[in-house]
Amino acid sequence: MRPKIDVAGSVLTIASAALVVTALALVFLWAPREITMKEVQRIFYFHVAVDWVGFLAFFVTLVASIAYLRTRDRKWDILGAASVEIGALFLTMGAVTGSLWARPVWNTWWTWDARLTTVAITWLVYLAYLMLRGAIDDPQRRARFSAVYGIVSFVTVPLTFASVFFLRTIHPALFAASTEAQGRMQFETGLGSARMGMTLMLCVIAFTVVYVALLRSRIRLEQMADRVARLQQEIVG
Amino acid sequence: MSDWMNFKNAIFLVAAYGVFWLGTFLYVLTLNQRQRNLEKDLEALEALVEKDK
Repeated sequence: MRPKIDVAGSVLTIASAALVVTALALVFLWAPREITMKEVQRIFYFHVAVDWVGFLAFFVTLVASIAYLRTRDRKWDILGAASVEIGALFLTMGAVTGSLWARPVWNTWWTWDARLTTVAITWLVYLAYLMLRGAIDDPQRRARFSAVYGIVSFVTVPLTFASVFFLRTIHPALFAASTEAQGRMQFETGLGSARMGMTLMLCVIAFTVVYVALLRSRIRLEQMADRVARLQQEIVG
Repeated sequence: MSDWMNFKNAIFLVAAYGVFWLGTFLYVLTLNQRQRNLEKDLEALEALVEKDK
């Protein structure tokens, strides 16, 4: 039998690739150079976008977890688990890109600043989610425990987001009514700020589409694993 | 900022973007590998079920 062509998957993959390439072009060719940090400031576009996807992924897990506890439908458990895996990957990339930005700007790879500490806590909490799933064999029990954990662990996300507003931190606040010292960037052209904003927006959109494409693939993988488990049961039983 | 500092900063910039590409590439590779393994398992199991019928 010929394998079915996955049209939606192909469209998503092509759209992801096109958007990421466009985002790269805007970052390096269109966005203005920041006066103080110079070229290294361009890390910020991908850094913010990958962190955004990480937090979006955890929000999707929160919604899927609530939906699972209400309906006990396996599809929500699959969605929650798949989303955490991708979220953890993106948050890891966010931490590494942030560290690569911090070294030339703060003169250190890492500091126990409020934002960085809360991100580290979030990262560890969601790694524990994946470990929890790996430690429970019974599928129903695993799904129930994961759903409860997926809801409780989301507390770390708003805490991380709010840490730049309520705690003392040297991390730039992107959405704050910022002071000169906190995150306001200076540009070499008058259109700088708008161009930066548009570039960042496109990066966020591009990475969100990449997330959807990866999530779709991960869900299909889990569905395939379910089919394998069902057949194994059929043969044993 | 000196040329040397600019060059040093450019290395951090390239490394940061490299992390994204490497991370995504490795994850997609892992997904593909897992899919291939599952397809193999599925084929073997379906053949077993057919044989049992």
